[in-house]
Amino acid sequence: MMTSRSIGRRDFLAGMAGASLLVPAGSALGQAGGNKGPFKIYQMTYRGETDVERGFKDYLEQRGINAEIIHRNTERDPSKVKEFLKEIEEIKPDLVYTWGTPVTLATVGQYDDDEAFDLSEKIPVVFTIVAAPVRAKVVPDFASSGRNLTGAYHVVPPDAQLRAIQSYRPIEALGVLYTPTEANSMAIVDRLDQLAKESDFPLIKRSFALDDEGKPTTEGYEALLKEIKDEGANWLIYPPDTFLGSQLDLIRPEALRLGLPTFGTTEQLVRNGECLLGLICRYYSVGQLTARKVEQILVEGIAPADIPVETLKRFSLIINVPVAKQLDLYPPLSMLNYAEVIGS
Amino acid sequence: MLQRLSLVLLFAIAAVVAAALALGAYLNYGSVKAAYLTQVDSRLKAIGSGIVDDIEISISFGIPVAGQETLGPLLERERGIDPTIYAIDVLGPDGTILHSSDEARVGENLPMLDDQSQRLALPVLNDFGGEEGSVRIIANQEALDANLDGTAIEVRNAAIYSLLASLALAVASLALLLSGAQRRAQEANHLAGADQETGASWAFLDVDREQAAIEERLKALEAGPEKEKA
Amino acid sequence: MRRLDRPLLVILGVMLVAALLFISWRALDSAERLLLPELDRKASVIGKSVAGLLEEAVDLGIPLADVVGADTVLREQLTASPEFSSIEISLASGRILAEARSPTTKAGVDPFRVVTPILVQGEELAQVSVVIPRSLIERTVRNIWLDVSIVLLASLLVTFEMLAMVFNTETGRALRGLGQRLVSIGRGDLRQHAKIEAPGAFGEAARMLDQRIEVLGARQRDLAARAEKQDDPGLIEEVKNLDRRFQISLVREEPPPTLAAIRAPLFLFFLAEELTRPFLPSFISTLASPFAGLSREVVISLPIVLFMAIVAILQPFLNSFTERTGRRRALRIGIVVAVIGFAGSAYVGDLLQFLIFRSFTAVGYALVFVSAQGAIIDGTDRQNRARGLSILVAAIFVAALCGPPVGGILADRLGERETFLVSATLALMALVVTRFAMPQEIRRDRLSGPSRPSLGLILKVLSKPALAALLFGCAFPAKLILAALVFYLVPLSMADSGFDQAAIGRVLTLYALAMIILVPTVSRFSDRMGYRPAFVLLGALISASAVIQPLIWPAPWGEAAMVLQLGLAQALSITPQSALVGELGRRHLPDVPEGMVYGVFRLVERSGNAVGPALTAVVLGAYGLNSALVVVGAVSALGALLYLAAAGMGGDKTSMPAQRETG
Repeated sequence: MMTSRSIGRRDFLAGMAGASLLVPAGSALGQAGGNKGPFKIYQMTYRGETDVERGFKDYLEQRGINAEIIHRNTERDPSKVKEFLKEIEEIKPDLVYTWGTPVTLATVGQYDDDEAFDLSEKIPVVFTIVAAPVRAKVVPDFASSGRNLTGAYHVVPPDAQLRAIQSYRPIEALGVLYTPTEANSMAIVDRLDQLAKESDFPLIKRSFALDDEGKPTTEGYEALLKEIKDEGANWLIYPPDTFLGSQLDLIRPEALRLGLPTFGTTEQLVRNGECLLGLICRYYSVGQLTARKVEQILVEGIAPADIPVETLKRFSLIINVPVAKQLDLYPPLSMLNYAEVIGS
Repeated sequence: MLQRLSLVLLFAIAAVVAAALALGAYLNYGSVKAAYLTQVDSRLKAIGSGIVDDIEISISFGIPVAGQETLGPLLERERGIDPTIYAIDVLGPDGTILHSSDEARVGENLPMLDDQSQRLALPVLNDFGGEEGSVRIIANQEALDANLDGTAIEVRNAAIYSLLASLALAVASLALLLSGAQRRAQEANHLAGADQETGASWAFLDVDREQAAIEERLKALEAGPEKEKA
Repeated sequence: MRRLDRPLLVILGVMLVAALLFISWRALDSAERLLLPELDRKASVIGKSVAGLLEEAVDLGIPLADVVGADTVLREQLTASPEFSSIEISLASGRILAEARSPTTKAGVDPFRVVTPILVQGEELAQVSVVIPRSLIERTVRNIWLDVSIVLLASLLVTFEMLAMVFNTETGRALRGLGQRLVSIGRGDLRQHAKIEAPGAFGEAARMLDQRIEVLGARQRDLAARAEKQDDPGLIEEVKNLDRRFQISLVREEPPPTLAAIRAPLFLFFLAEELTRPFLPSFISTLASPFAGLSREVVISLPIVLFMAIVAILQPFLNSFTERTGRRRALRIGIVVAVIGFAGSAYVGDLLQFLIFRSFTAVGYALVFVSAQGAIIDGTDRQNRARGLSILVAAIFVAALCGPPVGGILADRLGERETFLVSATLALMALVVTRFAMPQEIRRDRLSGPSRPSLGLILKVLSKPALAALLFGCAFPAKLILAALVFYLVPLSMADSGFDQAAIGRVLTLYALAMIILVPTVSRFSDRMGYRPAFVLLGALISASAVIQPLIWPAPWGEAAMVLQLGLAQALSITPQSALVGELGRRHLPDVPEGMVYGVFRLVERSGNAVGPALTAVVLGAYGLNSALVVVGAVSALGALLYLAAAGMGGDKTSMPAQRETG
């Protein structure tokens, strides 16, 4: 618990999200009645339970929604979804929950792919942690899926990211390291390119090399980082990149050695990459938001196609003070008002 | 008759002066009161939004409002600093008090009492804008009023004293005015009096004299032709 | 009244200023005791907040000397609490780590300082000081001095009116008449005064003076006749000389004293209506629900337009009604109808009800206006009619001067609905005052006053290009721009940008202020100079260009400058314009009674009053404030150009002095 302060964290971070604090018809409606279960929710995750599932479960409990959650883990292998679909046929759950882009696509397919299997034709599906639902063709637009499907995503808009960086230290040149084969990552890099032009600073892009099978490798990553540093970058941003996320143990010390301040765009990247700064959607809150959508479908009886696909309205700013000390780059005092600080 | 006139005059003046002083006194008191309540509110808002910030950060860490056990002591501490605060409550979405500076209030859904005034209510929102509850600060209306009483009495007394003084002055100046009027009536009698020994207006005298002179000459002229005829 | 009540007014003014100063001084004194501890507490909340932040930074391992952005934090705090003059963080060594100073609040001499230590593990590393200027307390009370002085001014004006009323009772009139006689005789002015009938010592004294003057006058007339008969140029000249020096054979040109008594009830009544000016638009907007297809701005203008339209349409028809009913009775009926309107407005629940009650007020307003005008015309003849009508004009302007600012203050402090009740009360007082301050009915055989202009007559007047150009090019736009800006746009836009009603009232009063100061001067000047078309044209162009002010200056200064400029401009044109109407009427329509020409003129003018807010509302709703201003200005400018073109073509070089018509 922190001491009370007069500058609202809320004011700042809501501004970052560029969204006003619209209160969705939350509490009162939920309490108003409706069928509170029991419901069967079939939950498929990519790599086991995370904070998302915890937030999901807590929300349902707080709302007094009686749900039996059947959890299945694909263990990073989306092809396992096929087996689970058979089980779904047998159990006949009230709703299916999918975690991550691969699992979600294996369950409902792209919206314009008539050949693909689409579970939502039979059972409502709610997805979560799909970084770019439109670009990945899970939904045609954020307002409506047009299917028996809705969900939550977890990416902070890049312009909010840049504002957070700028208010820590103005950007002279921004480095970005990414995997060219990852759609999520590419989407963010494209957007950064556009924003860099608007704000008039150079964006120094470096991508991981690909091997003969077209898979990314870490080969020559030191050189990539050095080039970024040498071209004048005073910040390095980590996009939501799965391969990058798995190689942080290599990259982290090298970036620190070069004295490059790093910025993480997901909670995982900030934690594992020991980023100096990060603006993230907290997984726990994304789980709550996902549960809110489930509540709207099961309790309030709203059609999934009528529920927009959303991200959070407020993000978390994380500062790593030990890293700041190593880089001799202390945060501006006012940031301590609303940031969560990783101490020594 | 003159007495009636002065009474009407006195009444009219008293009414206008009383209205002006009442409005003036009210404006003075009102501005002090508004300044005071603005100060109180802005201080309470600083306290309240600090509490809301703490709660919201804890929510995004995964601790629901009801489960934030450290809140009770925090609220009690904040209340203790400020004698104008009656209670600080953290309410759930349905209005039930989840935490309070006063342990006995927890679990209740308390309405506002007469001697309390809710000066502040801030919503507590989760990361996607859903309402998780609210923080309200209830001021001790008696304490606020007691603080304002001093000013109210001071201003009221000042208004009464100045009204009395004004009325006394009004009576005095009316008396002056009326004696002036009496003098004027005498002056008029005096002026109008053709009796030149007692003195009359120079204008009357001048005109009298010149008219007399003209008349003399006219008479001479008028007599002239008659003489000729004769 | 002259020398009798002026000292009274001065004494009263000094007394009120002293009393209000005394009250403010006491309020200030006790405010200090109330607010200082409160400010202290707030300063320490801020101090603790900054100190806590720094303590946290140190806890996290950031050395105090390396803290970045402390200035920003202090600046943000100061912006949120502008009552403090500065905040600083100083290290134990005395070095100032960071500070922020308010650009607007100066510390002044001997400010208070609230110091909060920054403690880390029990050791004081630094301190945060918040500086409270002493002037702060004074400022909180000084802020209302503008309001208080408005109250002062208004009470003086009201007192003045009350004195006028008291001096119009029988004894008062005698007293006043006596004073007047003494002053003029003292100056050597031996004109005859209007008769005083009051009994008592003062009436007696006045009559004695009158008798004395009368005797001199009779003798003078006799001498003149005899000198004429003798045909002696020297003597005739001498008699004339004497007459010139003492004005013996002249009669003072003044409205009958009984007529002056009408001023008090009229003032109270118009004051009741003027009180509502500053808050009317914002009050309507609280009632307005979106009407089918109408923008909010248009809905807000509806009651204002309706009011003006009713007044414009009814006026021509009411004259014969008031004549049949009797002016005094009609006036009292009008007041009662308006009181129903005011009181009802205080309790309306929706826009429709408000429209109904405002219609009542409008009907009452029109009735009162027409009856008062009729009573004055009945009670005067050609010589003193202008002076008589100026009573009506004066009542309206003084009411317009103190109504809006006082109404604004009342609406802020009591509430808008309550202010309607105050208006109702004032109108009721007007009704009471008419009991003893209104002349008895004067019945005349001939049809007095302007009767209703027929359609044929209207067309006949308008078929004269010179008159039509004046009416549509100048008179119509003048009222249009006045109603559009002063009654509608300024109060609405100021309320929308968050100004309180008192501020709106202060801005609106500038119009009447400019008029009251300038009109008499301009009247005299233009009567003497001629060149009336030039004055009218100049006034129209300056009015039109007033709309630029809000586009240049920030609110409320832009609005204030606009209203003031409009007042100045219309002060230039209002009297010459009125005189010009009579002049052109006599020249182009010698067979039409002057009253009829004026009737048409008023009708055209008043329709401008109704069209102004309507036009503005439509443009405002569709295109926004700036466009509305430009359109209103453009209408006025175009009108002036139309008039210029017509005057140029007609070779209308009117410059002969004409009788002034007011009202």
